[in-house]
Amino acid sequence: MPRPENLFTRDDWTADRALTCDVLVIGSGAGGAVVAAELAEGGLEVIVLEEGGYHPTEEFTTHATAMVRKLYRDGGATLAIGSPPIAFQEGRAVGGSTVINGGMSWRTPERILDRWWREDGVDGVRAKEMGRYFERVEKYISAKHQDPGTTSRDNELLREGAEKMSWKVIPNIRNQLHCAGTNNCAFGCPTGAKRSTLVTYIPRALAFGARLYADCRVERLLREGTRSVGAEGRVIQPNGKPGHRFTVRAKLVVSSAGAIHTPALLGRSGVKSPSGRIGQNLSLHPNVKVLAVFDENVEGWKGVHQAYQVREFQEEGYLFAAVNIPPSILSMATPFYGRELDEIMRDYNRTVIAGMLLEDSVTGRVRVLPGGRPQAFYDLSDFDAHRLVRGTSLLCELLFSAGARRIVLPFEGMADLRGPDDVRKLFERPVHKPGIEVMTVHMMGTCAMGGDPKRHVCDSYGKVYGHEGLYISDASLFPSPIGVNPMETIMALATRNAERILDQGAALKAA
Amino acid sequence: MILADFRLSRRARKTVAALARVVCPEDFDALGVEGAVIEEVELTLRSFPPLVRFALASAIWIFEWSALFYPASFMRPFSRLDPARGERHFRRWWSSGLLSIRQLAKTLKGMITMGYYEQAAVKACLEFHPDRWIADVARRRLEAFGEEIRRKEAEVIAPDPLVPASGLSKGTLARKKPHAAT
Ligand SMILES: Cc1cc2nc3c(=O)[nH]c(=O)nc-3n(C[C@H](O)[C@H](O)[C@H](O)COP(=O)(O)OP(=O)(O)OC[C@H]3O[C@@H](n4cnc5c(N)ncnc54)[C@H](O)[C@@H]3O)c2cc1C
Ligand code: SF4
Repeated sequence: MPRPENLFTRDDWTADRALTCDVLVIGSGAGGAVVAAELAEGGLEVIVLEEGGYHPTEEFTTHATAMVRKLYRDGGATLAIGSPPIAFQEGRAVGGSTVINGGMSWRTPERILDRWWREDGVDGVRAKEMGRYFERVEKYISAKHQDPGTTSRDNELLREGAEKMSWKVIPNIRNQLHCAGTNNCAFGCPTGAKRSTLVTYIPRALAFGARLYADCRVERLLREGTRSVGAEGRVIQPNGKPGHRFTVRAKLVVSSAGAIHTPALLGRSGVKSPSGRIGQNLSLHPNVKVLAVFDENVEGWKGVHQAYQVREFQEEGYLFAAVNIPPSILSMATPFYGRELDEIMRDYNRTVIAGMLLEDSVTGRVRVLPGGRPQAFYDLSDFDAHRLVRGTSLLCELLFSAGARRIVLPFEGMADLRGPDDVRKLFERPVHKPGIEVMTVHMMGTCAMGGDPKRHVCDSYGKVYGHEGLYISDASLFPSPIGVNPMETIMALATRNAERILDQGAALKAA
Repeated sequence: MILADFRLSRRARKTVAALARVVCPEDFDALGVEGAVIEEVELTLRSFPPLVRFALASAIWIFEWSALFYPASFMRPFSRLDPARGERHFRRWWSSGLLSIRQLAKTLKGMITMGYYEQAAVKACLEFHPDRWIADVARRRLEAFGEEIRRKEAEVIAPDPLVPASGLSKGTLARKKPHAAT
C-alpha cells in the first residue's frame, strides 16, 4: 500500500525544518485525529505531530510480542508507582491507542454527564446536548453490535453464566465494520474492520488537507507570554534517539497526547494553571483478571473478544467481560513457572480470561521527572481494594455457574479456587494490597475541564484557563472516571471542542 | 518501532538461557528454541525505557552472580548450576520476603516465557493457530461484505462539514476552502 499523501515519516526528513499552520494538533489518537479531521474539513490548515510510527493494516500480525514493541509505548512497560504498582498501557503510533484498543464504543453514561454538569459546571454536556456529537462519531467509526457468528465461545460462556445468575448482560457495541472475529484487536486489526482513527479520522483529516508527521516527538510548546504559538521537538530515529529538530508555528495548539503525556507536555513547557491541578486527578479504572479453566474446548481466540459486558453491578462501579489474550502475553501474567506454568498453559484452549473494570473512587497524579519523562503515581484506596475483591468474588461466582473447574486469582499468595464454595475464601483473610495484580488501559482526568478556573485546568470546551491559543482534547479532560470504556466519550468531546474552535475559525484565519 | 541499540552480553545470554530452562516447560531444549527466546528477550529489553532496561539488565547480572553466595552453589554463578540448584536459586527470588525481589523474579520470568510461547513450535503444541483462523474469517468477511465495506470506506472521506448548532461558523470556513476529497 502506498503511504497516503500528506503523511510524512522520519524518512522524509533530511534536515531541521520549520513549519507553519493554523492549528497544530499533538497526538493522533482518539482525541487528536478527531479534532484534526473536523478542523481540516472546516477549512483550517492543520498539522498533526505524532511521536509514534505509521503502521498500516498490512503490518499487523499475530506475533503479539512484536506488535507490542511496535505499537505500545515503551514496549508496554509503563507503571504507575504506588501500592500496588499498576501496569498501564498506551498506544504510540499513528492512530494512538485506538490502534490497539478493544473497540468497545459506549456513550458516556447519563449519570456521569449529569455529574459533570452539576458538580463540575461543564457547560452543554448533558445527554441531550451530547447526542449529536455521539451520533457523528458513531457514523465515522461504525459503532455497532457484532454480526452473528463472530463471537468466541469464552464470551458465550460469560453470557451463559450471567444469565444463570439472572444478571444483566448486554452485547457490546464496537467500532467495527463487519468485524471478522480474528481476536487480534490489541495487536492491530489485521482486516481493517476495527474502525480505529488510523483507518477513519486520519484518512479523513488527510483527505481534507491536514498534514501528519509521524515519528515526531514534541518536546515543548512555544509560548509568547501566556499565548501558545506552536511547538518544537525532534524526529525520532529508528534506535529511539532524537534526530532532526523541527519547529511548528501555529495560531492555535491542541494537545491530544493522552492523559499521561498532555500534562507532561504542559509541565515541560512551563504552562501553569490557576488551579495548580495540571497532572492531578488521574483516574484509571483499575482492572483485575482471573483465569478460569473449563472442561470443554473453549478456543477463546476464535471470535471477537469482549462481545458482552455484564452490567448487573454498573451502579456499584463494576463491569465484567471476557478477554482472550494470546499464550505469550498470558504466560507473562500468570503467577507460575516451570511445570506449574506448563500445566496451566496446556489448558490454554479450555481457558476463559475474564476481567473486571472498576470505577475508581480516588485519584493519582502525573509528575514530570528530571529529563522530561512523565511518571504516574497512584495509590489504590483500601475501599477500592475491597471493591476489587468483592467484584472478583462476583466474577468467580459467575464463572463457576458457567462451568469453570479452576480459577486462578489476581491476588498474590492466594490459592486457586476449585469450586463455588471456595469463593468465600476470598474474604477469610484480608487481601494484601501490594499483592493485587492490577492493570489498566484507561487513564483519564489529568487536565480536567469544568466551570471553575480554581478547580479545573480547562474550560468546558478544552481551552486551558489562563492561556491563549491552547486547547486540550483527549482523555485528560474527564473531570471524573466514567465507569465505561472511554474512547467514544473522548471522540465526542473532541468533536465538540473542534466545533467551538471552528466558531472562532474566521478570526483564526484572519489572525 | 522505537528500539535502542542495546545488546545482551555473552554472559547475560547464558544467564537467560539457564533461566529459561527453569521457568519454561521441560520441552524447552527438545523444541530447540533457545536462540529465538534469547532474541525475543533482547528485543523486549530494547523496547523498554532506558531506566527499566538498565534495572532489568542489572537484575540479570545480579541474579547470575548472587548464586555465588549460596553454599550449595560451590562458588558457581547461576548459569553454571545444575538444574535443581538453579531452580532453588530462582525460587529464593520468586518467594523472597522482599516485594521488589519478587517483582524482579516475576518480570524476568515473564519476559522469558513470553518469548517462549511466541514460538511457532510452542503455539502448535497448544493447538493455537491464529493465522489459519484469521485467513479463513478474513476471506469470508470479504466474500460476504466486500461491496459494502468498499462503499463504507469511501464514505469515511466524503465531505460532511460539522455545522455548529450555534450556527456561528455555519460551515462557512469549510466552504471557503476546496475539499481535497471532492
Ligand atoms: C490495550 C487497550 C485497550 C483499550 N480498549 C478500549 C476499548 O475497548 N474501548 C474504549 O473505549 N477504550 C479502550 N481503550 C482506551 C482508549 O483507547 C483510550 O482511552 C483513548 O485512545 C485515549 O485517547 P487519547 O486521545 O487521550 O490518547 P491516545 O489515543 O493514546 O493518543 C495519544 C497519542 O499522542 C501521542 N503522543 C504522546 N505524547 C506525544 C508527544 N510528546 N509528541 C507527539 N505525540 C505524542 C501518542 O504517541 C499517541 O499516539 C483501550 C486502550 C488500550 C491501550
Ligand atoms: S476481532 Fe479481529 S477483525 Fe474484529 S476488530 Fe478485532 S482485530 Fe479486527
